[in-house]
Amino acid sequence: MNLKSYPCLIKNDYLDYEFYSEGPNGRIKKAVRFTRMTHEEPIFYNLGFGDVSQETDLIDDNIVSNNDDRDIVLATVAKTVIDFTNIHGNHYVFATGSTSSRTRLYQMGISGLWEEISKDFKVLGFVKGDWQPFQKNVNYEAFLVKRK
Amino acid sequence: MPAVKKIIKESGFYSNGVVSDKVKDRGNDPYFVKKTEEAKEFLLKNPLPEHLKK
Repeated sequence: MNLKSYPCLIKNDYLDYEFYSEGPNGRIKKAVRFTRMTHEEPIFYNLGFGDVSQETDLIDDNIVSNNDDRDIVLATVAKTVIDFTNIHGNHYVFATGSTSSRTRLYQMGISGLWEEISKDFKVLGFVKGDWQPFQKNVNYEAFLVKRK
Repeated sequence: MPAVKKIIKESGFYSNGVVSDKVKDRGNDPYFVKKTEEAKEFLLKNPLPEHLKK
């Protein structure tokens, strides 16, 4: 996957990742966390992603960063999935936004970068009660991602 | 003591990561805990059908 991304710091267990978004709103720390959800095959992990509050060092869902770098951020998160699955195995990774508008943002991002993303990932989307292979221009509620 | 431990170089992949002991363990971050619980509930209600498991 040949996309511009931010350099990333990785915790030594490859479950936590940090990077900085750079743009008109300054330098914003972002974190990605993979949390195991199931213990029987197939194994699912949740991909958590958010902005880190400068005050509390916790994830603050109310931060709206708007750094005009959606594709770079998405590519950076995609690369954390690559690093994570390299170490922990090719498991399903579940992702959804904290709001429907954020999920839509992820969907637009995946659509925009689909040619590159689809080289390395199988992506499923959940819509109208069903999981289906990802298609552009469909407003999904959630995503499941797996390395090819 | 340097914060950077090693640089990942994976041939064939595109990692741009640096392993660091400065990265925080966010397993107990309230937001991530909440999101994981919601994700579990979502998958319980909406499991992946067999024909899509490959």
